[in-house]
Amino acid sequence: MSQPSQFQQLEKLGEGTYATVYKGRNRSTGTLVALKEINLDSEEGTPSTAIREISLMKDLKHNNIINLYDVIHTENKLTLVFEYLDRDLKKYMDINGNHGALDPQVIKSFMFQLLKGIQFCHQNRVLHRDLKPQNLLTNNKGELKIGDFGLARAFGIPVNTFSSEVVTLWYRAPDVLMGSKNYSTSIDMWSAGCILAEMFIGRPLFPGGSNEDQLHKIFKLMGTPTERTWPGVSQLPNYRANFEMFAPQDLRSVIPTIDVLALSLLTSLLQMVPENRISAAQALQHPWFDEYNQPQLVQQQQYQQTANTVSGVLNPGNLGYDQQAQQHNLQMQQQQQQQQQQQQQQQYQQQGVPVQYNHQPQQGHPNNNQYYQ
Amino acid sequence: MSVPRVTFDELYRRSSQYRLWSYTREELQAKREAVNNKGCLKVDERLKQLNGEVSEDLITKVTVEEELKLISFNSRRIGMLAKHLNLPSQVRATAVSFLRKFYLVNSVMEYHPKLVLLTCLFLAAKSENSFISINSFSKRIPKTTPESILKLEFEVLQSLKFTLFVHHPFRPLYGFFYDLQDVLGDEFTIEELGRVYDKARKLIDEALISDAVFHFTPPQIALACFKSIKPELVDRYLEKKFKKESKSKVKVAEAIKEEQDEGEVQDQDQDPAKASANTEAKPKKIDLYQELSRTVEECTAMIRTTQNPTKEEATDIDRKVHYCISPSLVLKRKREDTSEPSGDDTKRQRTETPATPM
Repeated sequence: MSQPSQFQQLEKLGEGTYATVYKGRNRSTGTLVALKEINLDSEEGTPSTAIREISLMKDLKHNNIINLYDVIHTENKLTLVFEYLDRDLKKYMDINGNHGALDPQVIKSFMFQLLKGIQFCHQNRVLHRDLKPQNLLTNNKGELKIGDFGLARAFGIPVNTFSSEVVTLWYRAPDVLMGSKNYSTSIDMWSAGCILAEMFIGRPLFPGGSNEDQLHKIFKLMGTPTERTWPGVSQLPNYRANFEMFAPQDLRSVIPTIDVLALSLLTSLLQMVPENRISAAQALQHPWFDEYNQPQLVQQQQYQQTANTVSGVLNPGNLGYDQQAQQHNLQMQQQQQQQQQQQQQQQYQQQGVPVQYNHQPQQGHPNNNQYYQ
Repeated sequence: MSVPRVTFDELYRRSSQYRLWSYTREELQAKREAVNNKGCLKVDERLKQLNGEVSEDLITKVTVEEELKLISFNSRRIGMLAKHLNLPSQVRATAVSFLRKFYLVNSVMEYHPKLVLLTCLFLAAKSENSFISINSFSKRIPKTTPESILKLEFEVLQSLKFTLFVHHPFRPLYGFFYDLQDVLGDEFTIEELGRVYDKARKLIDEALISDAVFHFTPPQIALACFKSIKPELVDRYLEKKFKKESKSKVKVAEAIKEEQDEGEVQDQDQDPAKASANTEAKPKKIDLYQELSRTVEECTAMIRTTQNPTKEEATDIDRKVHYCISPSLVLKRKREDTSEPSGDDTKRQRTETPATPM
């Protein structure tokens, strides 16, 4: 249990859903942290949003989810001590992007990490419900982690009692916008699709100003749903028979820079019918991620040319994944990773992202190790 | 299958319930003894502060066993109270879990369970998304105020190490209910399985008060509940599913062996039942069927030993605890006793007061 005085409060980072977040420094270790302060003037004791966030964050221990280190109680406030990352994805795009747009290799790495985090939430039967670039945190090592679980909740079955007033408008799924309360994990997958597109184009894909405007912008690109394309859509509370009719457009009309495989994943994420949206687990197996999932195939050629291995050098941007391959080809993997890491290093350097070397004895993506510790 | 997959068992191993709240029997016993010790020291401290006004032999400290009985008794009270307040079984189960974990950190001689249980129930409602306002909560429970319930909230949170996410056997039980129909549909009728399921579900409440929750995984407890109601059903199920050398079984066994070579224990099959007892290292060569049968049998036996102290027993312990927490009240009682020498009956009545259910 930490004492409040253990942390030096630095500048304000922002207002969360129900609290104020400050940057802080651990006085004894010098480590930076994010301090989320929650006022306890509520008559109900600790606010239930805080209780739920604490509950989820204490159990969702994953490399792509912000770590909750500690909870500090003082007379009139509760402080959640979180892992600190340098900046959120929005800021990262502003600083590093070309008018906000990121390099495809960086997008792929971020997307893979985002999906890993989402998958872990969903496996633990937790919906985030508020995924957006501002809630995704990145650091100079190229890591991405999901933060702000203020609106998250554990779901069970059935999932029909959720409030429809949750996700930030721009990343909100069409079924939720039309008033569906029967949503589930697919709600987060739509948001993931919006974020993927945004990383390519450097600005929000559907920046709606109101509920109707949001739907209008979605329909204009994805096509207006009908009973034929989406059975049951007319039963949704906010469905209007007089919705303006649009035909679906080619996504490349707004995202010209996207490659074929990334487009295929994006299309699977931005499905209007929630049941048709790809799951996080499926998305992680998408061919776009082959270089992380099956590095031995993708890089066989390069492997032939690889010089002697330098052991255990791992770049977090390097996402070697396949467990079985790791078991069987440890040596080979090390060499491949070195190779891949060199490539990534070049890419990161082109981007102006400093590359840091972590000496890690374990193999594979840093994310995977945690499963087996 | 080349796709790496996180199994339920692995997920469970990453949960706080497994990481922080699962023990060997020896560890659990040691924890309880340490807590009891701490409680006794606290009582000594209180007596010292009274400068010998209350002599030590007027106060009876409680034993580890007595603490356990009192906690069990109050766990059952949570059940009654939750029903009275119409709270879902998930909230009830979580509150019981909170209460029992709280007393792995604190002694009943430090905090009286009848107060703590209310805080646990209120907190469980919040964390399980069944929010009930403190005013209406307090109003429906006699002799409480919002302050008296909220006062202990942070103590409880802190004792729980802020881990509030609890996995219960309800969901696995429901999953097994489906799988039982699938695997044994030709041997048992749906009606029969349904009856067994209903009884097994009721038995979960007992299991939650037993030490099984500290030693076994929720799916294991679910199977044990089925087994307690109809042993041959679970025996047949495990036999059919794991005994014969089916292709998949060999594969699973191989997978387990492979992972052991790595020094890791993981299941490649989705079936959560294969989670082995938390506390044991797996032998190198493993007969899945025997391992599972033994684990479920052990768990079943443990659920059978759930404590259900009588009201008299609980009242007796309660009285001791009452004076352990507030030793000066003994003096008050003594004064009253001496002014009313007819004594014994009055004394009995008075001392029972603290135990009256609210």
